[in-house]
Amino acid sequence: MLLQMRGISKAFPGVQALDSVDFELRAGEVHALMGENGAGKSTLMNILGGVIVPDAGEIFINGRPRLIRRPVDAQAAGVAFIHQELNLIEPLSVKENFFIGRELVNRWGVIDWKAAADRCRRVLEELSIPVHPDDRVADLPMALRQMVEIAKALAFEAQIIVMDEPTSAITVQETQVLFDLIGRLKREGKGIIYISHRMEEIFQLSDRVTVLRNGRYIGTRPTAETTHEELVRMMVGRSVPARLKKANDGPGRVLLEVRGLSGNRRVKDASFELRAGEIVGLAGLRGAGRTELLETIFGASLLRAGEMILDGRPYAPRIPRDAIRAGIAYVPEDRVRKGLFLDLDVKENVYVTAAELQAQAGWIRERGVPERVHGLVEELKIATPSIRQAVKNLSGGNRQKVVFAKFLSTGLRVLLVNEPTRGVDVGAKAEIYQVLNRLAARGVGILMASSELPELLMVCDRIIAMWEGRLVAAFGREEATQEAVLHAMTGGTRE
Amino acid sequence: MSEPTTNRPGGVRNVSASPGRRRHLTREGRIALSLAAVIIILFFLSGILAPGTLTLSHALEVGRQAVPLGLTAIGHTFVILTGGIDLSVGEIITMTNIIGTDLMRGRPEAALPVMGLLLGLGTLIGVLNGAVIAYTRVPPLVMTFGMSFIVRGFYLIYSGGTPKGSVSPLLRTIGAERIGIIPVSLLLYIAVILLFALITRRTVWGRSVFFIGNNPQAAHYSGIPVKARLLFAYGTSGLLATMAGFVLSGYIRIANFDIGGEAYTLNSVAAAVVGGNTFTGQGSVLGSVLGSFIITQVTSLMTSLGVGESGKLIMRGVVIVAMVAIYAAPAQWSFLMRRRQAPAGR
Amino acid sequence: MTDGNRARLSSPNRPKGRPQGGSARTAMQRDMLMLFGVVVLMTVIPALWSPAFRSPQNVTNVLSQVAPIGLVALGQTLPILTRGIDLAAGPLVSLTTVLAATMMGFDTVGVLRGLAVCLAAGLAVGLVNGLVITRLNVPPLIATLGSMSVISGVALIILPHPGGYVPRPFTQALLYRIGDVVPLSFVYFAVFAILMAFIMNYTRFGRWVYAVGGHEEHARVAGVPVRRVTVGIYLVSSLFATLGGLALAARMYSGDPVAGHPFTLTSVAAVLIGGTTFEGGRGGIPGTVMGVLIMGLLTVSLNIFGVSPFVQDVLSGVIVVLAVIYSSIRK
Repeated sequence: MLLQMRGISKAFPGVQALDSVDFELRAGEVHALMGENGAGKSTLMNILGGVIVPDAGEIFINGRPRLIRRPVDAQAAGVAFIHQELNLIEPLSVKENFFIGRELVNRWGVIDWKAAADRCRRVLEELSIPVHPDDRVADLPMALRQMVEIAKALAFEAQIIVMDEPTSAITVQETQVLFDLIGRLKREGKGIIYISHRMEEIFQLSDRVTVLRNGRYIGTRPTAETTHEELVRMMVGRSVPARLKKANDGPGRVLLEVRGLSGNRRVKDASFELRAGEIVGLAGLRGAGRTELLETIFGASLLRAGEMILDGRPYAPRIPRDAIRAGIAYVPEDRVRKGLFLDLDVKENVYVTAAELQAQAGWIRERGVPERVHGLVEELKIATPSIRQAVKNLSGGNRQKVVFAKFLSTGLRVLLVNEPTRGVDVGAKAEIYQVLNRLAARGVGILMASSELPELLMVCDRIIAMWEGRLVAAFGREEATQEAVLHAMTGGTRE
Repeated sequence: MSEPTTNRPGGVRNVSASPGRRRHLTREGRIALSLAAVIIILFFLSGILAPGTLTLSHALEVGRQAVPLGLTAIGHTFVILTGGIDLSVGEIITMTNIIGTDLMRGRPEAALPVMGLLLGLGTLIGVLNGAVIAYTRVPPLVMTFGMSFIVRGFYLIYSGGTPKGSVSPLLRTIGAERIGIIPVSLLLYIAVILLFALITRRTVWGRSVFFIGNNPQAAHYSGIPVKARLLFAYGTSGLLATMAGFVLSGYIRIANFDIGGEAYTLNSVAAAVVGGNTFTGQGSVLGSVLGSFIITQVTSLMTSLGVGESGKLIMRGVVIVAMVAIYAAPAQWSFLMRRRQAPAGR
Repeated sequence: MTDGNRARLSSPNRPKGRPQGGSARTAMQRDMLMLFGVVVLMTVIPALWSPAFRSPQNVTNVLSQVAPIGLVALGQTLPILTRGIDLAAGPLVSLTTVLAATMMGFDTVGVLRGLAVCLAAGLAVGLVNGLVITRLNVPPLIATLGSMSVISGVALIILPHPGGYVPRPFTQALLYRIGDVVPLSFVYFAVFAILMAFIMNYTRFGRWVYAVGGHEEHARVAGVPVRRVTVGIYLVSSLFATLGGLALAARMYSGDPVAGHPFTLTSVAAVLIGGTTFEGGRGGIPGTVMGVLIMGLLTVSLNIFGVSPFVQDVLSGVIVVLAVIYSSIRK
């Protein structure tokens, strides 16, 4: 047995993240780790990687107990953790990144760059990774960065490789190359822990699956003997409704018309309509241009060509303020960077936009604001002890609701949402879907980008597939199936 | 690990229904109270160490001395809250003095037009700082430092290197006279404090500096016109530095190249950070006012103890680092920052 | 590796026109070449114009002027590479001149004693800065603003007015001109520049500085002792400020409690002109050397062409800002 983790427990303030969890990994095995967000997968792997110190539990590697308290300990024990957000330093070259923290030095402490370059090149070549040791990481596409990270791990004799959603940021072709690589590692006797939400991948790749739920160990199954349904049941603990019941009857008038829109680099000639009360899904791989399309409509990204008509009037935002003024709001994917003021409190975060736009000659109307914010906090069920609480103390789901709340009092007509449930737990997810439904029922038109197809299929009236910056296909509610949309968004033609 | 993602139904506490029920002090409120306590302690301490200073008129005198620094610090606060710094304020003060005294030459009728002109000029310099910082990627430190050279070169060329002239009676009134026992400058100062405290709390221009400082990108995405607000913040800094220049000029009455300069710039940064202002959008005008009062108080105490310029510099450095270290310390260590540990819904 | 292989792997959405994974080294070489071109132009054009500029005295003048500020800028490069700043550098230069001018006495033994005192003071300053930043979580700007103030005060206590005396063995060791043209102080600067370039590229410490500057958290996870490196960065910066102070003291033949103050921001400007940015992890010593030469040549040219010191103030402010605008656009 390559790795055994026994009785691992970890509590964070207010929550038991892991409750006596067991996990094991054999040499030459791909072991999938599954669970909803917040189930404890990341915590467990961070403990293995030395990023988090557990409250209780033991770790055995090759049958011997190992104490892992810092990332260095994990490295020494042969554990490599390929984080979703890769652990590379962008301004530096591949070669430099390879050896950070374990430079190859001669006996005078001078770095031997030639040996470093050789070793780096050898590993890259062995794995057929088309990267030069002198390439700057910042210039490489995501997929290659990921491979560099894997190569880096192997250069230092890693036995156990943890991959956290490695395919979330790469294309289908790139995924295949990655899977080939994983196959090779497996044959060489490495153990691979593979975290993913994508069922197809789990069934294609893994030998066994372990499921966690709410910080508890639920079970381990050989992949060949389990089914999609069983895994979902294990993860969720109940069956999931296939489709959300919509509150309104049908979409109304055309709210936003986009014609021949081209934006910065990734958006090419996009045309579509969004109707009042309609939720339109935007499906596509990472890098397909979904974020850019939404941000172009929101005025946060340069509009190169094309025109937009909002409620019968021409609409051409230069900055997000113009968009919000016109009634278009945007809930960004990267909410920490683009959506929130972490050190400021809930009230400030919720009221910032309304204060800006409803001010008269610059004067902010303060009367009734606490009440309004409280109303929004309750409407969205934001769990916070006080509206004076700093947002950094809220969980992912509640933070997301704060971003929603910001736009609910600004005369909202069109809502653009990008990955609204990323990093959000199951309960909050359902609540966010309800919010979207309620807004649609009120006549707001919603354009929702998501990389989770099941989510789009569940929530949306229509789905538009995007591939390489173009809108390549549209599906009505009846024709939208997982297979059809996936086919279109991965470059398959459809008629 | 930046976002805790665990949120259990059941473990969640919902927000209390009545808005006003749990009022506890904000960070700024706690800092202001603590600084006020420090001021009172310093007042009595100076009474013990330097007998004869425990009087209302001494307190008012310290208050008057704090006015120019306080004005500069208030303006600087807007810039610091956006995450920037304005190293040109000291030279703007000197410029105000040199050009103001030369244009006024003691004539009463020149006061208002010259003051108007200089206020416009000072604001323009600030706006220029803001424009370059907003529209290019030049760091504020470099821009405003470069500007300090430009401003200094400008008034040196203007004056030909020799100070001349004196202020109009109006400026003398503002800088040096009293109504009853209360210095005129102090009254002006109080009006400015109230005005700018109101601006930070109740106008979009004032509020937005907090958002920009905490997260400029999120501010942009939240509908704040970030560039315009940077112009406003740096413009305010230039405007208030000019006003500080008026008060100082009114007090010393004549042209003097040493009136402002680096000392004022650094003291105003010190006053703002001692007042709890951070480069990440946390702080208040009141904090800077109290901070500048403390710095003046300490300086004045050291003067009465016969400590020279050098000792004051050392004291300033120690005070800056100590105060910021206290503000930066983890909550459980710091008595100033202590707050009820409110477990959020996680 | 084949081109076909690469084409298949790369994302189809990569911006067109950017080279595939452009080599970090060639990009840097291009930048250096351009800065070097500026230095050459700033040397050749005034030299063609003015005989005074190409006189040996003026060459000596340029080189001896560059040495002190250059040494300070070498040190300042490290804090800026890691998104910090060392505002204490300038006052530490002043303090060093003051210490040198009061501690050295008249003989060689005195010189050594003085050097020891200066270096000890520099190391102490760096250590305190580093510890305040890493242990008390005070941002570098504020931490060094505080020490800047304290050091200025100490310098004024030791020597309230310019004066004191640095002995001849000391000034000779810095001002002796090789071939009657190249002052030793410049040679020291050149040697230290090469040494620092070597340290930054060929030692663990140097690589760790880049790693911390590029992404502090990732560096920590990779096993870089971030706090110790940070303390090291401010130690190096202070050490070079001390060396710069010694060079300045020799040039002035005395101490001055404020003469070094402008060095802080001049050194920052030189570093930024040299292409190191506050965004961290990019830039380095060669750029800083170019930045220093550009600033030095500028000052001397303005002097030679009789531009009034007042106008020089305005011009240097404008030029620093324009240069930084330019180098930030280039990125």
